[in-house]
Parts: sequence; C-alpha cells; structure tokens
Amino acid sequence: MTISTLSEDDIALAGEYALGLLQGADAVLASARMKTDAAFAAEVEAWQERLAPMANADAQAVPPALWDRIVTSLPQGPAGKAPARLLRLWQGMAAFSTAAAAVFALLLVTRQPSPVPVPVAPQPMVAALASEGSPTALTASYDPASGKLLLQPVHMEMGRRFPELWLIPVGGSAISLGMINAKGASFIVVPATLRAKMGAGVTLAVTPEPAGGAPGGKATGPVVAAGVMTST
Amino acid sequence: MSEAATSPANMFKARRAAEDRARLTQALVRTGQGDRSAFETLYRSTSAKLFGVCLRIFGDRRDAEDALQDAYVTIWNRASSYDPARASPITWLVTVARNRAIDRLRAAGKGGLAPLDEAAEVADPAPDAEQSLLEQGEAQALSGCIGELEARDAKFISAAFLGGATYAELAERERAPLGTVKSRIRRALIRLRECLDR
Repeated sequence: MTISTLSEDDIALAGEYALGLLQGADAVLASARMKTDAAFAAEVEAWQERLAPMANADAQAVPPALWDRIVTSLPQGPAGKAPARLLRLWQGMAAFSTAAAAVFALLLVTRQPSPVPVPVAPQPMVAALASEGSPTALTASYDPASGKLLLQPVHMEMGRRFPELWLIPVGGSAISLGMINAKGASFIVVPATLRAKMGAGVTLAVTPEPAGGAPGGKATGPVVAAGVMTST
Repeated sequence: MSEAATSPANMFKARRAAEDRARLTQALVRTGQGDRSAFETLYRSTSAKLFGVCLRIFGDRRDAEDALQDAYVTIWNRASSYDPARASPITWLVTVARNRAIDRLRAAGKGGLAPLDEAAEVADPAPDAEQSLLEQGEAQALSGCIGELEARDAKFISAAFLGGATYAELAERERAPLGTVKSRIRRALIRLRECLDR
C-alpha cells in the first residue's frame, strides 16, 4: 500500500472528481491539479480502480458490424497507422506510375479529416482563472500573433509563497510559463516552442511556489487558480 | 477465502487470469504504438464486457452501440497514455468506456435522470466465469463496503457513477441544499475508502 500524503479533504476531492460530481470552477481546478500534483493524480487513479467494479455487467454480444464502424471512424494517423487497404491501393498505384501515385496520395491526404484541428487565423484568447471561493482570481488574455500573455490578478492569496503560471495542454502535462506578480499585472512572452500549444481549450493554472519557482519544473504547491482559454 | 484460493482449480484459474491480463496489457500498449492488429485483438477480447458497461449506463441498445463505438475510438486515440505500472488494463478500459458514456449521456441531456432507486443496484457479486478471482474479490469488497454506507449515500454514489449525476442535480432531486448533499457524499467517500482499505 502506498502511503499517501494527501489530507482527507483531498482524498474526498479525488473521489468526487473520479465520480464526475464536480462542475464549473471546481472541476477545472481538480483537473488542473491532476496535471500538477502526482499524489493527487495517483489518488484519482486509485478511485477509478476502486469504483470500476461498479460498472460490472454481464458481457453482452456485440453486433458484428460495429467493428467496421469503429475502423472507419478512426482518425488517419501517420503512415504506420494508415489502414492496410489504402496502403495496398497506394502500392498498386506506385507500380503503374509514381507520378500518378503521388497525385493520388495527395488527394488521399487532403481528403482525410485531420486528426488535429487546423488552426485558422489567430484570434485573441482569454481565460478567467477561478479559485476556491472566487470566480475570478485573475484574468489572462493572449495574443497569438505576438505570443504575449497578459495576466491581471483580481484576488489572489499566496501567503508566503509566489505564484507560478502553468500551461496545461489538452491531454498533456503542466509546463511552466514562469513566475507572475501576485498583486500587479504581468506580461509573459510565451516561448516560440510553446506557442503551438496555446489554443482554445488549454488550461492555465497557478500554484504557490518558493521564490524562484518550482524546483525541477514540477509544481510543489496545490493549484490555487485555474481556467480554460477560450477564443474571443 | 485462503483455502478456496489455494485449491488446485483456483490456482489454475489464477494463473490463467494472470496470463490473460499480461496479454491484454501487451495488446493495449501495442495499440498505443499504432498497431491496428493489436487494437483488433483488444477489441475482440474486451468489447463484450465494455458493451455490458455501456448497456448498463444507457439501457437502450442503439445508444449503447454508439457509446461503445465512441469508447473504442477514444481507446485508440488515448492508448499511448496508458501506463501498465499505474492501472490494470481492464480498469483503464472500463474507466474510458464509462467516462465516454457519461459524457454522451450528459451531452444528450440525459445525465442524472436515472431514478435513484434503479441506480442503486450495485455490482452483482455473483461469481462470473469470465472474471478473475481478483476481480471477483474486488467487486465483492466494493459491494460489501457500499452496503455499509447509509442507503441514501450509496444511491447518490451510484447515481453519479452510472447515471452521470452531478452535485447540482442530486441536490435538486433531493430538494436539499447543495452544501448538505456535498458534505454527505464526501463523508461517505471517506468511509468507503476506509472500508475498502481494511
């Protein structure tokens, strides 16, 4: 058995999150915490393990046609993931003419739904970062053209620690965007390597950290404010 | 439990279950690397179980089929994030299927609508030939511990897990303040965890 350092409150929170009872700011905060707090993430996983038997049901015969429906709705990944049928077709074409095959492959590529949403003209984005007891602890606005992120604290309690800002891509882990001011506005120029990750749906989160920031790029404090970026 | 577990028949069963789990783990990990034949193996060995989960949540066969399709597409897309050190393959698969089904239920505006009394039926602890001893033990432990909770709290928990009910919906249905429902469920969760860890 692992020895958890979580309080009873946190254990209950992990259970509420795993059950899906939380909504709004509470759900966003818990989901951001999943990405920054390994002990909390492990407790959520433990709850999933504990609760999974509740979904137990007798096995049911699946209609045979369902497998084909699943295969046709899979996204087209890199070449290794292309369905064998398309690959064989492509190889057949190549035998006739590489030029024709190239054109055909291009058609295939352009007709496939892209697995990643294609970015359109960059639009400014905003997020309201909520904390427990305050719907807006700080606001964020981001200009994708320049990569500038402006943060304006509204009400942020940090105690003796300092706020660090994290970018949490959809389905990814937290990446530090650096320290921000607890009292006044902060400007952050998002590094060029991270700009591709800034888009609608990503979460911004704040954790209290020692001066100079979280050691080793891993958050040490709980998520005290978090919000999801939306296009304006 | 201990005598039964060491009988030759059960030891054989336990070994077979461990082999099944290893095969499933391998199929899931290879699915995460983009291997379609591994994905098909995974589908053939788990879809009947996950269809049972979807049917339990939806009731209606068509809705359950759509949810199952959605679940396997999600499994294909997310398999690379599966970590065998953190979760058993079947728990991971059941969790993905349950979460996708609940998302669909909510998107269709049907979240939290299941009658509380119906939702209260907790996992049937009756032995299932397809289940490993470990799974049977876990299901029995959960259903025993849920049985130790107050009936109302047990219903809340299963309405959330199988019906997608949120705190706000439970409070509305109970005509009780949100804070009251929340603190009841939080206390029940702590008791449930203590009981399961005993």
